[in-house]
Order: sequence, then C-alpha cells, then structure tokens
Amino acid sequence: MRLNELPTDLLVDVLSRLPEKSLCRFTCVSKEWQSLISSPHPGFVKALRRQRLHRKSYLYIWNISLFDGNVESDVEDCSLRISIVDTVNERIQENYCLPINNMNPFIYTVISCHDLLCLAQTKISICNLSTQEKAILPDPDHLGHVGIGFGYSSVSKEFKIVRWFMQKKDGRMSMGCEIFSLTNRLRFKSDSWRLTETRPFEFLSKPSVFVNGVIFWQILNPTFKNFFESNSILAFDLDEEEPQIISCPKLSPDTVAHLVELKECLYLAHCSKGKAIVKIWRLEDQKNSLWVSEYYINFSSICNTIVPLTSVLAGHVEELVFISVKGKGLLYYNVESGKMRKPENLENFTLRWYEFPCVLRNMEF
Amino acid sequence: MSSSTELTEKKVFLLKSLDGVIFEVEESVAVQLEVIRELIEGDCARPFISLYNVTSEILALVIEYCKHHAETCSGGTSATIADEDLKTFDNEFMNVDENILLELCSAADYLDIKSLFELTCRTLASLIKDRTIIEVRKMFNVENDFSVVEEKAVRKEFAWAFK
Repeated sequence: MRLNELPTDLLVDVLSRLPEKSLCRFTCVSKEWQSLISSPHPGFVKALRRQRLHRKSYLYIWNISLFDGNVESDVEDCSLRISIVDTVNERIQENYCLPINNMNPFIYTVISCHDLLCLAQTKISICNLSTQEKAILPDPDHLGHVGIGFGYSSVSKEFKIVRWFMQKKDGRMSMGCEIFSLTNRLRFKSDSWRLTETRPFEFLSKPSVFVNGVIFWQILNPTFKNFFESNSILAFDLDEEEPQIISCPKLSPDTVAHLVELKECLYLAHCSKGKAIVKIWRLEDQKNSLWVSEYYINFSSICNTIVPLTSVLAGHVEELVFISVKGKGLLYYNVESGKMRKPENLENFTLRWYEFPCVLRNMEF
Repeated sequence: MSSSTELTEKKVFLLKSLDGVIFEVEESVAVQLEVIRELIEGDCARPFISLYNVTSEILALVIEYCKHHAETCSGGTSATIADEDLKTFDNEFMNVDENILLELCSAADYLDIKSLFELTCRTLASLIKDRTIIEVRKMFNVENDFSVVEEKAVRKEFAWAFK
C-alpha cells in the first residue's frame, strides 16, 4: 500500500492530529489538500473537533506585564512575559516573551477565547500563541474605554471583540458598544468597528469571562466601600448581539466576587478577604438570574485568600484549581473527597498585584 | 498464563488472510478485533473468518499486537506496570517501515481495533509533522497542481507557518 492509496477519511484522521502550523503549511501541497484543510470539509472539521476535545491539557497564561527585565530597552520593543502552566500535568510548560510594540504594559487587559489571546490597550491585537500569528485591529472609533470582551459566535462562526466606551450626551453619561469581527484565521470580516448599542453607564470589571457564546462582565459599584462589591452582571450574547443584566446572590461582608468559567458554565465565587473561604454558585438560568449554590470550601486554617481559576478532570475526578492570592502556588481541591493539595511543581508560582491569570484551551506548543 | 485458564478449554478462531494464510487465535485476542467480536456476539462466527482486506504479513503483526495487549491486560501485574509495558511495546511496534505503518492503519480501521488505529494515526501524524512540502508530495505521491502564482499566493497567506 502506498500513502496515496490511503482513503480520504483515514487521511483526514491523520491530518486532524497535526499541529496548526503543519496543517497550514500543507495547504500548499496540492489543491485537494488545500480544500481538505481550509474548506469546512465536514469530516475534517468533525475529526479535528474530536482531536481537540481529547487533548485535555488546559493551559493557562499568566499575564505578566512589565518589560522583559531590560531596563534600557525603550517602550518600542518591550514585551509581555507569559508563563504557561499546564494544569493537567501540573507543571510550568514554558515561559514566553510576546513582543508588544508601543504599548504601556501597565494598563493591559489580556483575555482569551479558545486558543487566541486578545491584548487590549490603546491598540488591540489578537494573537495565536501556538502559531505565532498576530493581527492588530484598526483603532476603535471612540475613546473612553469602559470594558472589553472577546468571544466566539458559533452561529456566525466568527470571533468578536466587544468594546464598551464612555459617551456624554446633553450632560448625561452613557456607554456605547462597538464590535469587531474576525474569522478563525485572524482575517478581518470588515475593516471597521460596528456600532451597536447604547446603555446607561456602568463601571465594568476588567477581566471579562466568555462562556458558550456569551461575554460576562461584573458591574462594579463605586458607591460601595469596596469597589469589587459587585451585585450584578452585564451579559452580552454574541449570536444575538443583545445585552442583559443578571442579578447576583447577595455578597456577604468581607468577601470579593469573582466570575469564572468552569465546565462550560458561568460560576460566581465569593472569596473571603484574608481567609480561604469560598462560596461558589453556578448560573443555572440566565434569563431569570437563577443561581445554584454548588461548592462551599473552607480551608481558613491552612491558607489565606484563594481565588478559583478553573477545573481539571483527572480520570473521573474533578478538581477545582485555586490560586493563593497572598501566598505561593496553585491549590487543587478535589470535589469528591473535599481535600486540598498543593502540587510540588507549581509551588513557586506567585501572582503579583498587577497580574491577571488568563485561561487558554486547546493550545499546542 | 495462569494454570486455571489452561484447564478450561480455550475457544480458538481461525482467521484467513487475503492471501489464504490461516491464523489460529484465542478468543481473548480475537475479541479485540471489533468486527470479530460482533460476529462472536451475534453467534455468527464461523470456523474460518475470512478477512478480505488484510494480507498475511499485516495480519501477523495485528495478531502480535492484540496478543500482547490481551496478555498484558489479563496478567496479574499492576495497572501502572502494565501501562508502562504497553507503552514500550507500542513504541517498538511502531518502529516499522512507512508502508507497513499505512497498511496497519488501514487494517486497524477495517478490523476496528480502536487502540491500534489511534496508535498508527498518531505515529503517522508525528512522522509527517515536520516534513517539507516537497517531501509530503513525494510521500503521498501527490502532484503539485498549483500554478507558480497560485502557490506563491498560498505560501504568502500562511507565511508564518513556514518560519
């Protein structure tokens, strides 16, 4: 048997296991290969999706801003230092340096969707760390940044960047919304931002969370003693391009609310300040703002504040991954046994005050 | 093999390859071939099971693979040792000529042996992952039907992938 006698479905199965980089290269092999790889050949897309689902290693980026340690380098060639942690195999996979030109690293927002990263400041760029592809978006039409979100609409099959900006009309403050769309190969759908919505002005949380076609921001209340005492959420459906306000369970004193995606659902964690006590709700019904209390975790005797990041599935056992805010390292909480453990390889991992963790899935390095 | 299994009479199946060679296999090995398992479960297994798509050379390899996997899994060794053992075996088993690998892949597909199919596909993928375009064309015997201009355009589009 020769390779050219390999039936198409077997070839598809083999190709679907290749990293993105090889696949893109092989579009040059022949017209047949090109159409097999780049057009949505149903078998290929299916095989690819199956492969991606099997590759369970969820990787995380720690958006470590600041220059690359080189004080003399000017702003034009500063870079973003990124550590990638493989939370499934419990090790630090790699440290990256992503060049970011002309950007002030201190006001960075880094959000992710699938295997793409969106780096936002005055300029907004999208990059794929496994392929090193990068696209810089046209400048938004409006100044006055309020919040930014990044997600994927499976209906229109495009990535969307949703940006809220401040506007003042007749002395009244409001916020407008503009959207930019990209295909999965980082190609622009059009060259400009699309204006959609105007809403009453709100303070939005910096990290947004994307779950199943919807972007969520916490609405922060500046009149509260603590800025992060949020009691509602702004949701934006990427298929319908419709916003919605979701109310949240009441925050108890001395706790901070965090949004997190676990198991493809939106979760709200109330983390006690100073103690490792976390109460976690799952958003059961978005329309009716219905939350279900799912976990109550108390390790106040052994550690300080912890914040949930994600969950991993080892065998059939689910573990929630937490980061200790003041201490060091990542913590794994086994939801079945209720036990907490600290993987040795990840012990030295710390989060600095200006850093936000960011979750990437299906990456290949 | 423990002595207790030897006391009971083992059920044996005869598999006939494309080129007429007959292989005698035990049930524990035969059931790993999903197609044969279905026959056995449906009580349709005849003394001779003809496999029209597999040559004797490949069938011998397939049986060797299934035999090793059946023995390792039924042996008294702990799961981790068995796992390690299978990994070593699989690695060595994949150390074959490209054409054999392809035949194995296609046989695993036809005989519906999931683990072998997975293993061969994975091996093939890692084999071609870093090859150049010219090597891949040669390997798969594909003719380059792009014009010079067209090929240049495609290469430009995916310039990052060639770095």
